[in-house]
Amino acid sequence: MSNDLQFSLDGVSVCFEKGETIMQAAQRAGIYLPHLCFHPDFSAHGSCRVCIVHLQGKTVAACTQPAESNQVVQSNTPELQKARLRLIQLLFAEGNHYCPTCETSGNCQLQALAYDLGMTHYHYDPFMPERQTDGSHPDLFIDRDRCIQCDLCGRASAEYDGKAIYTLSGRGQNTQLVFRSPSGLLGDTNAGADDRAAHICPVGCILPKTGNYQEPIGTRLYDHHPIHDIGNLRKEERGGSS
Amino acid sequence: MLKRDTEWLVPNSTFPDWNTERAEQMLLQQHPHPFSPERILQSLVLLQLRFGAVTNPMQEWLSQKSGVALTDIRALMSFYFFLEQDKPPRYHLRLADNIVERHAGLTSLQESLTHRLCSADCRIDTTSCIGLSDHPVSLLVNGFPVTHLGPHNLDELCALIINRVPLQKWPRSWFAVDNRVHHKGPLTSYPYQRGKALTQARGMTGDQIIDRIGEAGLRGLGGAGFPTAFKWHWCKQQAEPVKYITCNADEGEPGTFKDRFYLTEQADQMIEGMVIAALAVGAQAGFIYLRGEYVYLYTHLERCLRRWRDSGDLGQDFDIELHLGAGAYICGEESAMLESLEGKRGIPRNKPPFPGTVGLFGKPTVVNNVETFVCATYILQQGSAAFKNTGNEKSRGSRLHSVSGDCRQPGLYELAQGSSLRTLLELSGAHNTLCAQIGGPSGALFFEDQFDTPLDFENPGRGGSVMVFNKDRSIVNITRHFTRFFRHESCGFCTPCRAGTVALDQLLDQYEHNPALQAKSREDMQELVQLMQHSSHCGLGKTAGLPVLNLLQREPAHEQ
Repeated sequence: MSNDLQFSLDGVSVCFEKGETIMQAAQRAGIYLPHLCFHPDFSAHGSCRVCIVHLQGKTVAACTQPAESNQVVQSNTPELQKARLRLIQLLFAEGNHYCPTCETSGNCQLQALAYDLGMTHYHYDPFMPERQTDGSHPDLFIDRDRCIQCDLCGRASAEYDGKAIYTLSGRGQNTQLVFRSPSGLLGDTNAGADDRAAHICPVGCILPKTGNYQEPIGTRLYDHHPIHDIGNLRKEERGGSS
Repeated sequence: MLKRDTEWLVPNSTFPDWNTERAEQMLLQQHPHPFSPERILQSLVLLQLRFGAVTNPMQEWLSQKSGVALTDIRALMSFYFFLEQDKPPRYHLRLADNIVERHAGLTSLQESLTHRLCSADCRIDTTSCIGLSDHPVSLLVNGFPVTHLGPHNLDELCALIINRVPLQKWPRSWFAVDNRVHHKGPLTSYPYQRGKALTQARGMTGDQIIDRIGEAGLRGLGGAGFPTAFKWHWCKQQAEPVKYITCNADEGEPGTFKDRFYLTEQADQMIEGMVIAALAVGAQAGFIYLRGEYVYLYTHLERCLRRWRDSGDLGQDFDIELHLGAGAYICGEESAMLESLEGKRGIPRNKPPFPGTVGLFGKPTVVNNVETFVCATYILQQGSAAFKNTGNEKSRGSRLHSVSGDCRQPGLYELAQGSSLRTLLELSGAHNTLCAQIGGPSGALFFEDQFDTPLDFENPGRGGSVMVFNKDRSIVNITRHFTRFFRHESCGFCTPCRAGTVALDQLLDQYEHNPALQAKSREDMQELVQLMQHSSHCGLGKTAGLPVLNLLQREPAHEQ
């Protein structure tokens, strides 16, 4: 075994394979780097910026930065954790997130990271955007108030389901989740409730219409386990992690 | 060979009715494959220009013809602000909203226009800088620039609009753009001989051409200052045989208009530079990405390209296509420009890979600014030494500066690299100067104690523009304006920029209007700017907080 393909992450030596990013290598090594828009099954996006790490004087996104030999990477520093907290607070401020009434509460990765990073308040004034819901689909409900524009549904739909239904539109703060149908409604697409895209949302933007609120508060994914221990899990994925 | 007939591309106040036949014919005149997915944005832009809007039926038709989902067409419409789906008014006035225009009375002019034209067939709104800050107040009327609007001609403008006078009959002088260079240098005065540099290049190998550019010490003049020879060399050495040359003519940095000069007066030098680059790296195709605000130069550039084709220098081994932007500042970022050239929303790419490795359509691509290509032609014609002997050690040659704001003679000035800001201020007749913004909002604000700073690649603000502010101007106002600009122009991809620019705007408001919270907002802004600088996906987000930082550095926290 050659020792060439390894770098240092928070002082721990991490092996990588050629072509891997820092995030991919860290995951294989079982090291958790906070993230939202990354998922190992899909191409990297690099938009949430929660996975920023220090790399020899620069700050880069671990999910898009190629791993290289002898890199010195820092992730778990007070400075970076504070930056991540602020990014999470920005995401809370720019959407309309009401955890107590949200079906995803306890299973939500945004909320879990907020707890993990010690978020106690918004810090920034809420933007209170007006965003449309979409209840046109027989089995799925879309609550754009909770969307964090991570495009995971878009990537899952295009890269896994082979349907390319979900995508992002608009510009700047008016960026929004849209669906590829002439009417723009999800109900007019061939989206299925069993599609990977329908289950990939890290927050509570894409939800099934039935079977909600049955899992009692207190028994949900992150109720007893911090996200840095169990990873970015979905309800369906208990037992594995991403 | 396409005729590329754009006789219709003139100031118009009436647009022909849309029908599929007319639309298809027009699009086919411009491009053999107007319905290919990568061409879709250009087709939208051309439809917008020809018919004044891209209405829903037009979008549906384009979607059917191209196979591009209607949702993706709508996504483009929502990203590029010059694309409109509502039936056009007879006159659409887009007032340039840069801080220089504000200082020249934009706000009261706009109020007056809105009030007096409320019942006219006219729409009035603002747009980011249109590259005419030396002609304040300037505006686009149905896409074409009208300069020097002020109290002296406001009555006449309103009368023309109320009386529905066709744009073709408006005073011609109103559309005049003055490209005089007030202080000339080598680039603006050398005896250019069309094709001479290219003949030189033809007698050399690719490596020799690149060496020549390298010996001259040419660095990119779009703002980043990256060594041009290195870019070309990198692209050349890629094994992939298909390569592209792209020219960034998306001059969107507020207060910058030097490329306007080159595109108008030295388009041949720019085109020749692109052909030389193609020879050097072995590229087969080139693209000029012209910002939508400069659409009035489209026909002129097409004619220049045609002349190069007629002389056989273009169209055989290498040809150049002219693309139009549509009101998105972010497309000046090189990878966003490539996305836009591919017909997509202008979202900057992850780097690495850089365009030299994976660029346009995934192929190795050279991306250079207009002025950089102009300089390449200069170097090949006049020799590396001629270029190298001007400027200083790390910043060779000379460059054109766009000067606007509070000075007697706003306009264009060519100075050797490394000339001081003070020299430029004196030449332009700036007086009672408080400060100057160098390199646009993403550059730096210099105060009197910094006026001796050399304008070169080693100092902040490398984009070739200076906005001058006198002592009556408010730094907070300037800062707020720039901050809103970035908020408006953020592409929305990454969290720190999309949400950070909004939060920063809110905090600045709080800082200005809520004295009780001033210390806290100050602290929050400082932290947020740092967050944006460090964590943003691209240069826009990284620099969007700089104006606020400039303000805070200049206004020390009050002692408690």
